[in-house]
Amino acid sequence: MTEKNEMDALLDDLFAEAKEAPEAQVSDDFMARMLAEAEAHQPKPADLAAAPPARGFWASLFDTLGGWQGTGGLVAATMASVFIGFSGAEALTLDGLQSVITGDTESYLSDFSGGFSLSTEAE
Amino acid sequence: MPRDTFQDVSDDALLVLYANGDTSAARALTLRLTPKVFGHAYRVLGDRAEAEDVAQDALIRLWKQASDWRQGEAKVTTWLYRVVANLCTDRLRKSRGVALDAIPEPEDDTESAAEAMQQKSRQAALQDALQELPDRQRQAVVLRHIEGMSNPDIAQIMDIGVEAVESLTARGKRALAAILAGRKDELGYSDD
Repeated sequence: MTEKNEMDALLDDLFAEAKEAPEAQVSDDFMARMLAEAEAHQPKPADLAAAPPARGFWASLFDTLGGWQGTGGLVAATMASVFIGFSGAEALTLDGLQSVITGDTESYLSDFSGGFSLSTEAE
Repeated sequence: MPRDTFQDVSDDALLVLYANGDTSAARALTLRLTPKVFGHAYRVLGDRAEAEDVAQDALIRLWKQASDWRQGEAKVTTWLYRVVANLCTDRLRKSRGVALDAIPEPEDDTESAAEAMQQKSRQAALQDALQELPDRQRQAVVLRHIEGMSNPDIAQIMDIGVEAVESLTARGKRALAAILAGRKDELGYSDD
C-alpha cells in the first residue's frame, strides 16, 4: 500500500513537471512558422468583401421582379390590362366620345338607384 | 514570446474572428493552441520533429475549417485534440519504433546544470515509460494526467465511452508505475 502511494506521488510529480518540461515546449522558430501559416490560410478581408459577379441588365431586372414567378405574374397582368383596354376602347374612339357628348342617351343617377331623391328634384 | 491579448475570449469566438479576417485573432489563437497540440503530439510520438509535423497539419486543418465552423457545436480544443490523436495514431501505425531516447537538450538555461540534468533524466524516464504503453493507453494518460482534460472530453476526442477512458487511464497509470518502480533511484526517490 505504501509502495502504491509512493508511486502515485512520484507519478503525480512527474506529470506536473511534464506540463512545463522544456522538451515538450514549442520552439520560437516553430511558433513563428505557425503564426505565418495562420495568416497565410486566413480569409482576407478583400475576399470577404468581394463584390458579387457582374450581371447583365435583363438578368438583374429578372431577379428584381422576383424570378420566374414574379415576371410571369407581371406579364399576365400586363396582357390582361391590354385586353381590357382594347375591349373597352369603343368609348375612347372619336365616335364613341361624340355619342357620349351629343347622344340622346341621358343617364341620371336616379336610373341607377331608385331611392336617390336629389336627382329627382333636379328634374 | 508574445502574450495572448484575448485572454477572456473563447476559442470559438476567436475562430469566428479569424474567419472574418481579424489578424490579431489569428495570432492569439495560434499562440494559444500551438503549445497544446505540439505538447500532446510530442508526448504521444516521443519525437519533436514528428510532433511539429502533426501540430502543423492539425492547425492547417483548423484554419481551413474556420469559415465553416459552427459556433457552439463543438469545442475547438476537443476537435483539435481529436485531429491530433488521429494523426498520431496514423503515424504510429505507419512507423513503429520511434527512437525512445531521442530527447533533445533542454532549451531553458535558467536552471542550474545539475537541476537540468535531473529534470531531463526524470522527464526522459517518464517519456520512455509512456512509449512502452499501448498507443491508446498512452493517449488517454497524456490527455488525462498531463493535459488535464476531463474524462467526457477525452471520450469525445478518442471516440470511446467515458468508462473506456477510465479503464484506459487506470491501466495506463498502473503500467507506468510498474515500469518506473525499477527506476526510483534515477528519479530521485530513493532517499525518501
